[in-house]
Amino acid sequence: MTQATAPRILRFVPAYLALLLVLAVLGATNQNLLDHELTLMEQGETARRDVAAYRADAARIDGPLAVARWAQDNGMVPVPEVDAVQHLAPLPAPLPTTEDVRPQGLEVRTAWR
Amino acid sequence: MALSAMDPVYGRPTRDGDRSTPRNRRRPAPGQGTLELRFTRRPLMLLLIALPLVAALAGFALQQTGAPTWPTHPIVAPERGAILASDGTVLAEGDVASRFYPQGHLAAHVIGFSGALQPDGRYGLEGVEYTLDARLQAGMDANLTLDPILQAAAERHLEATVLDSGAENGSVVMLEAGTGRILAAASYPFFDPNEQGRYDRSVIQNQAFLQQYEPGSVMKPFVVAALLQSDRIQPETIVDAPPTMRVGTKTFQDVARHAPELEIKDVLRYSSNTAMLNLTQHFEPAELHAWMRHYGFGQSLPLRSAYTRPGTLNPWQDWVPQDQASATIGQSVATTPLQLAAAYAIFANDGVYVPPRLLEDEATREPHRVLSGDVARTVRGMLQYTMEESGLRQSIIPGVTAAGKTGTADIYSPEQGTYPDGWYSLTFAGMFPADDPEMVMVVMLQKPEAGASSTLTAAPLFRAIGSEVVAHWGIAPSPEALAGTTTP
Repeated sequence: MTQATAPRILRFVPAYLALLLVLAVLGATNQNLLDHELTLMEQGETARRDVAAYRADAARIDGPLAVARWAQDNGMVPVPEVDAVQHLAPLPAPLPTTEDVRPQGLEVRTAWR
Repeated sequence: MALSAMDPVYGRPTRDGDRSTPRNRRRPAPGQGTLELRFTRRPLMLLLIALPLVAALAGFALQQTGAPTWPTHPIVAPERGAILASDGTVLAEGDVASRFYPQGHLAAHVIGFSGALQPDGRYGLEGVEYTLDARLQAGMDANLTLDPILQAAAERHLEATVLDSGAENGSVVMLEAGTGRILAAASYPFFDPNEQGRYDRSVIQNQAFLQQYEPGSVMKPFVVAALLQSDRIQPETIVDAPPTMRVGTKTFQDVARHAPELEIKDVLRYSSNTAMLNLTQHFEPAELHAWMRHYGFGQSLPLRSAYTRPGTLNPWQDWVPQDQASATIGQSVATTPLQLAAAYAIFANDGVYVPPRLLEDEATREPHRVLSGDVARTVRGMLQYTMEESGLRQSIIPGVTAAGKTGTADIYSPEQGTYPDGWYSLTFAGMFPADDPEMVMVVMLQKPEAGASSTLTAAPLFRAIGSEVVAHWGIAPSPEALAGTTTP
């Protein structure tokens, strides 16, 4: 290096440093954006899994199989079969047990009041 | 210049004013130049080394993420299109890494499942997931023709019937008449594609499309139609129907009691084997073979969206007399429930063969005429007569006219090389309403327990599912059907 080039190089040092700083900021920003993208992708994947899980839950409640099973369990029949249904008398009301019989008397009412 | 050339601070020689010629420059003393360079480079080099580090640290500090990490590249699972039912119900969704089947076992045999990347570049392993892999990998959805309501009805009643009859397995196929759209394709036992690893491969097989079996008497209407179309017989033709008949080395017999002579419609009504053997003598083996192929038996279905099997129709040159006789009554001929339903749809479509399709936008072969409209309607009328006049009242959907036929056939055991006792299949193939069919359905049960019959087991399954179809579609009851229908 000659005596003439050293000051010339020194003149570029601030610019070089500034460029390095800009590069560092750009790199950091880029990395931040990448991290943000990764986070969003992860959130998107989680959301898709959630939607799929909710859809499966919904299918267990109102999906075609669940509705068909519910209809069968509740004694429903397709329209063409209505005349083939044998109507059964409803079951008799259950007899009251001793626990169901409320004690009669003023003191009970007094207590209730 | 007369001034000293030595700088008092740095000891560096200054330059004279004239820098134009090297000759006028002062040459440094020996060793002085080295010292000069060492002095000027050291801080510069330090700066060059330190500042990038400082800058990098500052940059990472801006991230506020603690320790700096190496930039990572996201691993993105390839997208995969969803599989939808005809009403938009999601049957399969998610990318290749997380594939979900929200409806559980509903239509699972048709949908199949996917998994890791295979050597052939596919992710799909079974069913539509396999056959439509390229389409799904492109991110396009697959809209199937399946109606989830009818599919659920078919699966529910099929399960109940299989469990009641003690059958080994069973399947149901429903086709929309006129369009060939596959509305339901159920197979039992079920499996959940979300946990496909738990199941045996035999359970995963789509029996409705792949189960080849000898269907039995449901083949008889095809022979009758071929004879009518060929003008070998007329609907009023009377045919001998002895209780037993020997052909080649085999003796055939009828199950139902009937008169010794029968009209054609009564041949179907009583499902007379001996009458069919007499009728088939009107055909040369090659002719009967050609008619069978004409109906689609022994040929692959033009269905690209799903794997099917072509069935078995041995070359007519290899037939011995009892083979032709057996083919007439649905033995020694193998078919699949889907293939059988497509063939029965010929009667529903007034003689036109409409290839079945599973995708709403599937391009299939053009429909082609197999029978004349008159012959197809005549045979359909005979099938309606068969249901209403024979012991098939269990199969009649209240308020709706229907046409159909039962079939009971022995099952061949390749391991034993024979037809073991007690191994038989039950089939019912039919359509409704009989005057203008909208639906063609085939139900099939394999190896039921003793006592089960196609009349008492398969026919009621047809009715149960058919009633659901009528209720779902809102098919209005016909007065004549209401008048002629009795309920058990």
